[in-house]
Amino acid sequence: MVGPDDKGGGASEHDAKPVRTIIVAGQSSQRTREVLRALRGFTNVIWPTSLESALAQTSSADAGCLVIADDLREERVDDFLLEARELQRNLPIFVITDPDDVAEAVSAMRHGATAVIEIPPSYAVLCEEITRVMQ
Amino acid sequence: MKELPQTVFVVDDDDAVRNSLRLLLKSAGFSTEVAASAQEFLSTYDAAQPGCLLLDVHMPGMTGLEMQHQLNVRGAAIPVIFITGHGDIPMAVEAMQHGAFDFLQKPFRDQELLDRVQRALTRDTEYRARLRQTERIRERLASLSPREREVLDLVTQGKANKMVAGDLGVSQRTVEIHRAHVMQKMEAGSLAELVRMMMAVAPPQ
Amino acid sequence: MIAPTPDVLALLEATFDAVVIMDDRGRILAFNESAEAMFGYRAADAIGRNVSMLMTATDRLHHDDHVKRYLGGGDARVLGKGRDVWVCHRDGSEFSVFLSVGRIPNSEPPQFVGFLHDTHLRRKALATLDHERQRNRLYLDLAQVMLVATDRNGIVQLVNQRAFRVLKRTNAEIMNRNWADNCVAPDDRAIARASIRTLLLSANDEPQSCEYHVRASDGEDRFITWRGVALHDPDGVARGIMLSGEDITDQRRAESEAHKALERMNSVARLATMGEMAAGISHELNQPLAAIANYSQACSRLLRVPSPDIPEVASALEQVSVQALRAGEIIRRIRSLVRNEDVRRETQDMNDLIREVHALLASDARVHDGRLALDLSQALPKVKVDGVQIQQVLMNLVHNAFEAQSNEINRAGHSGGAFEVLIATRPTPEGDVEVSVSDLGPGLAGDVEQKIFEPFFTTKATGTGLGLAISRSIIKAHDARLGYRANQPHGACFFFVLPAQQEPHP
Repeated sequence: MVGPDDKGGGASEHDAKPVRTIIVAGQSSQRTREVLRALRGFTNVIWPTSLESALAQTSSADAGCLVIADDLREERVDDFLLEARELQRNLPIFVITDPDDVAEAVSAMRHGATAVIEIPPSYAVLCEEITRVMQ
Repeated sequence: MKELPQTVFVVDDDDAVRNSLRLLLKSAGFSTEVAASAQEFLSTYDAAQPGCLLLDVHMPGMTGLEMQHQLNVRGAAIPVIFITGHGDIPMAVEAMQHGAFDFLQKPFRDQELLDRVQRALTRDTEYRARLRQTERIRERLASLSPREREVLDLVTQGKANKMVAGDLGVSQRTVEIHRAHVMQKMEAGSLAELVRMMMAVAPPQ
Repeated sequence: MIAPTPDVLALLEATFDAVVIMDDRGRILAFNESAEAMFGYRAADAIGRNVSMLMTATDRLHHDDHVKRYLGGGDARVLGKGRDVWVCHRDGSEFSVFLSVGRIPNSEPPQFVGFLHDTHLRRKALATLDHERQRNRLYLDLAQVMLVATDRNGIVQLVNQRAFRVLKRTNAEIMNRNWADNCVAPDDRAIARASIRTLLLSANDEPQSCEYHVRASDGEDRFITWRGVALHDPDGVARGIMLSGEDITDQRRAESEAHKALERMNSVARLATMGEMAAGISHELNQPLAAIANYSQACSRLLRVPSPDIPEVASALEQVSVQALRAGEIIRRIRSLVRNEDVRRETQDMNDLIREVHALLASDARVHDGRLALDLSQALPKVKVDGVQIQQVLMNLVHNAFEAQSNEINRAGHSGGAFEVLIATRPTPEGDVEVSVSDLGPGLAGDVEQKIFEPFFTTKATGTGLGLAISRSIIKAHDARLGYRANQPHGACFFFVLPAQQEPHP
């Protein structure tokens, strides 16, 4: 998004807000692909190749929100959540879970998730929530 | 200060669930108090009572979530564990977003429940200890003289004694004396500790 | 010449037959209108002339002899009995008539009256009748219905092509044999015989209906719906019966299929409603299960201490069994609602039916953070209903009511306090039973009110749209109507009125 005074390409004198990123953290799984497909209406979705780089993106000033798309094979979701939360206290973090896994959802909330969304069927909810926090 | 005994409060409209929970908690050594409705609980609850709360979600009259809201409004900090016969993720997320400590689905394994109750009670104890400590820090702060307060603020900003003396227009020696008094009154062993104390009483961001 | 009296003349004009009055010498004294038409003479031209002018040449010769013979006291051959004679038209053509002659009483000298009946017409009628008969036969054979006529003893007298085809037999195999023994399926023979008997005894001509299976020669049974009449002779005695039958085997099969499909759909809708109420159901079951888990786990712990509190353990175990039975009861109720039972109408108390599903409905209420209230009238007449189906309708209406209010509240933001759905029963002024489900939700918008009962119309995101349509058809099948009216001050009220079941008099 560019401000009205932006001459294009360079930073203008007025503080044009940088485009904030939607960071999708996830393995190369069907669920991650489904989440990416659900988010195709948004610009600036990035899907880092590793969890380390995902955390690095999270700590950047451009981070808009973080979506943890699947169960992150290498690392436990709760631990990843804690680390992300440490890096950014106020960053919206959404965790995607299987339907009806209440225990997992509660645990994610306790470890710092902003909201947990079950997929399917709530792709629409995910997009709504992201739109809301990105404003 | 004598610690008040911790009570597990149980609020559930189903008689069988309520009574069986009471017995289970009792058999594990917890002391309990029960209520059959949100209104019944709220009318007798005293926030000074330490403990935790097992709260059913679906109740006629005031629901569990509504009661949680009421507790928030009152500023009560008792940890709330929601128990429900029918729970789904959106409900759990909402409860957690409004500050619930935990969320369990019926029926549950006894160890599961007892572990979480214990965790909640520990949280409550820690919280109350922190509260008391914050109170004490505030009391100590109040006992400082205005000048001592100024010194404290500047020192905890990381300024060296010399800078502080310059800012306040006094001698470095004076600053050192004030500083010593501050450390003593605040019962702080080091500058780091002093900083921590100030952060503890700082208003939340 | 003595003229006939005016009365006589009037009588003459009234008859259709040609009437000629003559004297003892054969002179025509009267000649009526029909006679004019028959012979082609005007009365004025005939009166006074000899009647022999009406005869054929041959008869003309003998007529006078006949008359003389009679008058001579001889044979009364000509009088009283009728006979066919040939007569002659004015234009010379000869035709046959049926003649009967009588002597006019108290006439002196004697006068004779002759009635001439045009047999030409009769013959034509007979020919037409014969033609009709043949045509009817044709109709019989072309008819899509089976036609069978039997005598009083059930012996087949007439049968048409269609019957042959359905029964897959030849004429010889059916005719003159006993209908019931030969063509009717064994299990239905008693019915067939009874229906023939009833027809023969019946006083009126109304066709009577009956249904039974006939058996074809290859053993296949076909289901026929029969209409029969008794055939009476002129004296009113029933001589036999005539049956017309329609083969409705396929239709009946299709109806049974349709009925089964409707039952299946009914069951699907039932399950769909159950699915929508799944939250309430799982909630309902999880309560006793949680209690069981808690109590039994507590017992384990209680028993681990050196001196266990036995009375406490005992009372806890008692509760375990109470809760287990509670869970079983809930499951049983759910199963009975889901099971695809045959439609069975029994005399029931509507209030009892409502109380039976109250627990299940209340759990749905709890899940919606609402309350279910009952206002059941004491002196309620009994109704004849399929209890399970009526309970299904109640489930559907109550669930809808809670959904409506719950949506309203969710949209308006979290509002404190419960809201109520009310189930009420009351006797109507006509003595029937009104059942109503009311809520204080938003009610129905005007245009929605029209469509609400249509299948697949729904305002809910996850609705099937079948609930109200099925509910309406269930109520309709009970000879009642599912209606809607606005509730005061706002909200919806769905109601139906069931006819009261008449108590059998002792």
